[in-house]
Amino acid sequence: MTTLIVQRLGQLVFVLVALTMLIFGLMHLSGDPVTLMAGEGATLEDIERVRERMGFDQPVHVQYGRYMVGLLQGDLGTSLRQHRPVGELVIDRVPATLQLTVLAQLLAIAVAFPIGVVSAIWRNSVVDRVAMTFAVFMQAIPVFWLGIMLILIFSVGLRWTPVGGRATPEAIILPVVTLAGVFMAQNARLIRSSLLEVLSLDFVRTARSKGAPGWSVIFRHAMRNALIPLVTVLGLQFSNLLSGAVVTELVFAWPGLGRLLVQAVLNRDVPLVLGATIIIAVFVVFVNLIVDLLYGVIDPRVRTEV
Amino acid sequence: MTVGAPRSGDGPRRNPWVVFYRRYKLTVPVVLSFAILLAIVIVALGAPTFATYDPHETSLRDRLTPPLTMDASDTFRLMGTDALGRDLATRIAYGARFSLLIGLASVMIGGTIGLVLGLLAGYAGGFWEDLIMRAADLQVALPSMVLYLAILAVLGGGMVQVILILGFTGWVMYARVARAQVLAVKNQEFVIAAESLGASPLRVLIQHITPNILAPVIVIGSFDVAKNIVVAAALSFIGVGIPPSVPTWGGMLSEARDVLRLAWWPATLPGTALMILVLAVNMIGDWLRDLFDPRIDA
Repeated sequence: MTTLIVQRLGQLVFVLVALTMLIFGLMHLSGDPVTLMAGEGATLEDIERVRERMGFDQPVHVQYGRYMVGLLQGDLGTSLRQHRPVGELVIDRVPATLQLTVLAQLLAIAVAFPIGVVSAIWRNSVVDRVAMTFAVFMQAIPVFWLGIMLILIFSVGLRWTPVGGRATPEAIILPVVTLAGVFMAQNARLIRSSLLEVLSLDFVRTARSKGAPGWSVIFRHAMRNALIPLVTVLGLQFSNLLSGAVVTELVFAWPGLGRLLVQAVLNRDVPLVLGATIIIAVFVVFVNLIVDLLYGVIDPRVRTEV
Repeated sequence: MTVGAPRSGDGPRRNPWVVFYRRYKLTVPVVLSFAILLAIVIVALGAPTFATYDPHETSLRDRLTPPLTMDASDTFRLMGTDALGRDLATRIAYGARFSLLIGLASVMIGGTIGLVLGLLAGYAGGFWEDLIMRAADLQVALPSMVLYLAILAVLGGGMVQVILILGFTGWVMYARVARAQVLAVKNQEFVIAAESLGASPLRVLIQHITPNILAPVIVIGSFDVAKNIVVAAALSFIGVGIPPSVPTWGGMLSEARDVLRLAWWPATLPGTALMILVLAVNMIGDWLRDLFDPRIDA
């Protein structure tokens, strides 16, 4: 277990070094970053102020060194536009994104689970075919377009929900449904195929032949094993879930990390972009670590190896 | 085939179309997907010829004309017009060009880089393998959309930037699969035979190994085309990808959001086009996967 934690933290260090080097490198290559960051209509004074504050009067390796030293001390710099510490700005937005992604994943699993199980048990039945066809369609719908269509139907047409924001409790419904939509389809297909695979194994046949009731074979014997690949995928999905959240937050003006990041990109606020990206990377690595540890809890075979 | 075994073509004469249909495991949805894809390609390539309007031509008198109706100057609008009176059918046709171009170009770049790195990792092993595979792990640790945004923040938006970013970050899956396939074939007799006959490593890789590992790479590529088309549309929708002056589906959806209360069609139709294209490409990807590897059950 300790090895695993050390391994993941080591990975985190490499991710952060690679990411910061990439951004600093690209910034250096793409001409004078200061003019870019100061934005259109910036006066020469503005540009000089930014240059000095960002330390761009120094050579690139000195700039990079300074940034990394700051990073080690937990200092992510200051936003160019909002004039507040990047760390503060980013942390403020974490709860909204966490709420959105966690609820969406819970909804996606809650819907996908019964569909996947029923489709696997009654393989090739009408239910299975309809569900899987629907899943293929759902997977082809781009997240942001699903969001717009839901707004068109439920906010503009039926007037049931607000168009966006986070002011009322109902405001969260559409963003969660939107983000859950794609993962629902993916999870249902996954649960189905994973359960089907387990159901064809010898120990299931043994359980059946010794006369165990059908539900017991499925839920006590097969399901426990079918869940293992699902946990792995849920961990990997977290990264995709955050990608989806970026777009969903923008469609619904949901005040989370994704929207902060997009606004920072549109404003060319590089310190804020880099800071938000770093915190998201830390987030992802920790979630994957938790999933790895959970994996050991669920599957005793893994525990001995770790 | 053993000598004397009955040939599968013997017996009652079969319709060659049926033989073809069975041999390539075609189904109605697959044939339909090919037809749709072909139609989209024709519309995309022929947009400048077919289209009766200029995709940039605004006409405030005709703004937000509903689909299948006459506009203010009494001309028929198949898909209506947008908030600036631009013809939606024309813009969607032009949008198909950009979607297909971005999807194909980015996958070519990503697939080539991934294939080369995967071959190198699998064949050379040791240091190169570690380096390439660790780099792949690192990249996957970051949500792709976040990585695109971080790079776009520095480089700025544009068609070339979007294609290059999707291409250069899209190599991971190809490299992983190519490496695994190389490891699976590199100790087989035909490779060892070629090596012992004095073939250079490069010749072995290109002539003997690559043809044997292309199938899964093509399958991943087909799914990636669909994925990259959606990502490019999402980036344009967000406003960081291709500038809104270019008629892309994502950009059209972004503009349509502002008039959602007034008109449903500018938001619905480009999105439907996007979904149909993605669906067709995904179905073809599923079909290719089944065709190349019958063991995998969809």
